[in-house]
Amino acid sequence: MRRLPIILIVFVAAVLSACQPQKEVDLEIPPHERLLTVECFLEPGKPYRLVLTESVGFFDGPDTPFVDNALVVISHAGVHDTLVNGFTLDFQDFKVYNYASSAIVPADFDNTFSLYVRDPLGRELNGTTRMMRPVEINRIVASFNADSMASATAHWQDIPGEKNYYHFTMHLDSLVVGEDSDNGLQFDFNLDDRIGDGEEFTVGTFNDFTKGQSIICTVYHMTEEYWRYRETVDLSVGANGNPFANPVTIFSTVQGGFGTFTGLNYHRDTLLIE
Amino acid sequence: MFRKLILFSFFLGLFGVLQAQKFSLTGYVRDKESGELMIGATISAPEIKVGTYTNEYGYYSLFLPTDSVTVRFSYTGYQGLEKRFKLTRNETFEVTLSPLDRTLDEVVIEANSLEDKLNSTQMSMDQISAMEAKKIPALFGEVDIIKTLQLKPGVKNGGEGTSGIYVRGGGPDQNLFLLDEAPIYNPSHLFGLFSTFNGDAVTDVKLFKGGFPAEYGGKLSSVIDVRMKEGNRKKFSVAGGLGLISSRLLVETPIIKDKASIFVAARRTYVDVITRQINYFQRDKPNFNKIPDYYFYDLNGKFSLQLGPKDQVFVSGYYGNDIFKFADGDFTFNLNWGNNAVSSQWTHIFNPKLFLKTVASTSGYSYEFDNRFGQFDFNLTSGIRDYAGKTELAWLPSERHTFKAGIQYTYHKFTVGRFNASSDDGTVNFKSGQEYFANEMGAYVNEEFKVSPRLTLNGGLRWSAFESKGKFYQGIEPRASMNYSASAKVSFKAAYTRMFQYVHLVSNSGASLPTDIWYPSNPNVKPQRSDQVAGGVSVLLGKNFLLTEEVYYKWLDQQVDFRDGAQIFFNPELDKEFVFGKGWGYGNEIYIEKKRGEGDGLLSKLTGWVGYTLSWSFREFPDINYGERFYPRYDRRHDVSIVAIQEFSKRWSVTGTWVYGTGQAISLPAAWYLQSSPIPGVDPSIVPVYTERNGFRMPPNHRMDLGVVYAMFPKWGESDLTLSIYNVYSRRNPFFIYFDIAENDLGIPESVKAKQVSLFPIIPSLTWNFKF
Repeated sequence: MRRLPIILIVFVAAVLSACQPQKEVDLEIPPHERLLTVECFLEPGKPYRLVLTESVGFFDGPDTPFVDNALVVISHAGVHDTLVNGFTLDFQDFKVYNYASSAIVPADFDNTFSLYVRDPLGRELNGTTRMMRPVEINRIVASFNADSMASATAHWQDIPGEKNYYHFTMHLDSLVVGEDSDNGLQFDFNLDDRIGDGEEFTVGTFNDFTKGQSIICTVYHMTEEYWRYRETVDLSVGANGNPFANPVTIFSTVQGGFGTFTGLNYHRDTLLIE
Repeated sequence: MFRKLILFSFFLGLFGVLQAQKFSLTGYVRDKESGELMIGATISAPEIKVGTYTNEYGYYSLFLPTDSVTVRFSYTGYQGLEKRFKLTRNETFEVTLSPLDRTLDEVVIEANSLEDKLNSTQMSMDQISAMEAKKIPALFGEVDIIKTLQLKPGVKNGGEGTSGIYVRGGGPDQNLFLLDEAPIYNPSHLFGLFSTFNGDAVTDVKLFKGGFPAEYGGKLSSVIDVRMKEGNRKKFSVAGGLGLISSRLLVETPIIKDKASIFVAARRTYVDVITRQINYFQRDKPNFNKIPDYYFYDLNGKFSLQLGPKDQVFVSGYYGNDIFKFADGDFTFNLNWGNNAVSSQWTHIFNPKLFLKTVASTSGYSYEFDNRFGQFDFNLTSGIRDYAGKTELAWLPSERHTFKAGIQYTYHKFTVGRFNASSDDGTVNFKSGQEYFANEMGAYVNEEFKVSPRLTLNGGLRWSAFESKGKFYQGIEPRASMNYSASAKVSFKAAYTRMFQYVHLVSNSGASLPTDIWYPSNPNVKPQRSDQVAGGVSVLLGKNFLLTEEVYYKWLDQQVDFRDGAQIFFNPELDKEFVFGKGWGYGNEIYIEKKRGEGDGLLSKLTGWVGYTLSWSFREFPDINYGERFYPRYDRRHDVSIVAIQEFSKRWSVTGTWVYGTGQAISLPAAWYLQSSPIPGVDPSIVPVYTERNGFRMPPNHRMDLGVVYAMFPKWGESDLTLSIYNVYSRRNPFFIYFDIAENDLGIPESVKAKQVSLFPIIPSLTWNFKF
């Protein structure tokens, strides 16, 4: 019986130690062969520009992945445009690029665009893409509940007879405020027309808005390749920390590395809630 | 020489026919107290070395010579019965056995189930009774028959605390769960933490890992044949238990004494009652996140009726659901999933040598999302519904031959992604989804032939077929097994089986989730196929130990998985997202079990087993892992389980289990890259790059559980207090591993730490069980 307090102490200590469900573990990750990574969105009316980086092993330590002094060429309709290495900032979208050209991306929906990259280490990357015609948002409609809080719906018409892939975003009041703000991007997701070919798409919100606020909706019309790239990237990102996820291989739209080379066409509309 | 051999065989057969005249002794074996049928009771005549078991309806048939012989009727945990017979004609003898009374010191005859196992042609099979399962300590004190099966060699769980099973390298959908002959498609609650089988309602479970009898088909890797109790035919009885997270109640009563009975068993968890109170008291606290409601419940019931000496009718039912609810402001999210099954069974004895069973059943599984936000309503449902019929004749023409033949038919209805979306203002009103229908058929013959006192052969042939969307598949599934008794203590066994599976569970998660979808074979999806060979030896060590050693190799063809990035929901062409590959696995299972010995010494009352499995399993898909083979998550190189049950006195008994398993195979990202989003306001983000499917191993998993039972003997009935301590030394077993990434201002990883998350620390729980 005199041992009972000791047993109780051991028991309580065991329970307390067990209340920390996480602990750091050592893992042996095999060395990773770094691959070129590109993110290039061809936006009509904007210059040719992209971000060229390389993949980095998770336990390689802090590293800046930007790749300099590479040959980067975008070709379209027989014209080859070489992008210059150097950081540029788009003050409209607050995006940074490390390769850019002064040539403007044409709104050409018939011819393909191609990309070729070779870096000083001899690594090569290339890709081909085409522009999708933008799909117009027909209307954005606000409706109020009994507490005078508004919800909104955005509507657009799918193009019948073909597979279409969309990315929808909704911003509040401003496009460029950071993700930490209550304004800026509210939500975004991918959509496709496999269950509603030719139907009108409707996307709705909660009753979260008040009079005087602006709702900015954007519908990006994507290629199937870029849509699949986004899907696999989302699954990969979501798999870290999710015990039920099955990580996937990223479906890059370029060969020889990771990333995407794609046209970026969208239609944007704004509703002021009144 | 060949002619001489044929002639010799003919005379051998003739000798078999002309040997001494024999008569059959047949009947049912029942529990004396409740009148319930006993499955797997042993009937033997040791003097002439013959024996048999009761079938799944408690019926036995034994051939005896006209000489006077003693027949022993026995069942583990019951007082045996010996009676001398001198048959001059076929006779019926109804047997009742009394449960061992722990309050008395009795000299009893117990079943020597080890000898029975030694002599059986059936290999790769484990059987547990509800009585045994109740002795095993369990998570939150919830008796779980499926988790007891996980303690057997060759059977692996899907992760800590989960009740899913993976048998000899097979997937979670390749197990045929039968509850009184009706299939159960999702045999778990709470994402796999608890099984759907209420220990109070179940009387017997058989697990076949290989050497499948021809009557079973439709799944590749295992058969789990669960039998519900019958209901007390003698008196009104109530049993139940109050536990940490759930309570159970079972009521059984005779309707016509000794002829008809009924039972109803119910179980419900009540964590939601507590979480609702927490939500209520915390409702005014800022930043308080409401806890969703969650509970599950089960209802089991069975009606049985003895129509006459030759006919019995049973109607069994199961209904269970998991309910998950969340509501906050104008957002509600409900997810319900569950199984239901009803089966009616009729057995008829034409004569002592001919036994018929006929079964009609329906069963189904479905899940439903119900979601409302703002002015929008969404509803998504998927599921499967079966209507099935089966009839089987068992014919015992002589002591050396047992024939079985049967036919089966199942009509399947699949609901895949039925989706409704609507809005209050009517601008959204959308419906989609698919329904598929299929016909599955089977016919089989099976014979067990005792070639000689040492050699027994079991051969079967099953024809199976499936039709859906106008596509017809069929296949022949040979089954063969043998037992050669080298001596009274050593027997060698071997088996070969082929199985087809026409219905597939497709999942894009690493684990089994309630939202996984059952899908039929069709013109684009071929049936899965497996071939398995197994060989083994059983050695009786002394009287109380049986050592079994088995090796197996299994080939799996036409395995189904989703391609990377597949769209599972709202997809009318789901099968275009499938990819197909193959799998294989092999292993070695060692199993030593000890049954209760003679005498009163402590060791004689120690029972249990030690199991060890060394195994490998692989998958290879052209479209996964760059076409390279990979380990499925449940590949486990070493798997050890130790179970010890010690009765110290009539009141106290202690059970201990210890398990060890190689860490699960998991996918981890080897590298990252920076993704620049084209969306305004979105900063660059880190994309993890997974280079190899399941290329890493989590740390090994081991745990000890303890159970202490204190039996009380009140005047009004029986009662006990059961203390279960799960994970006694609070081992932090890995549930999953993730990378904790600290980023600098540019969004570039500054430091990365691998962190392991564990699920269950030491969890003591107390359950009060009662019966009157």
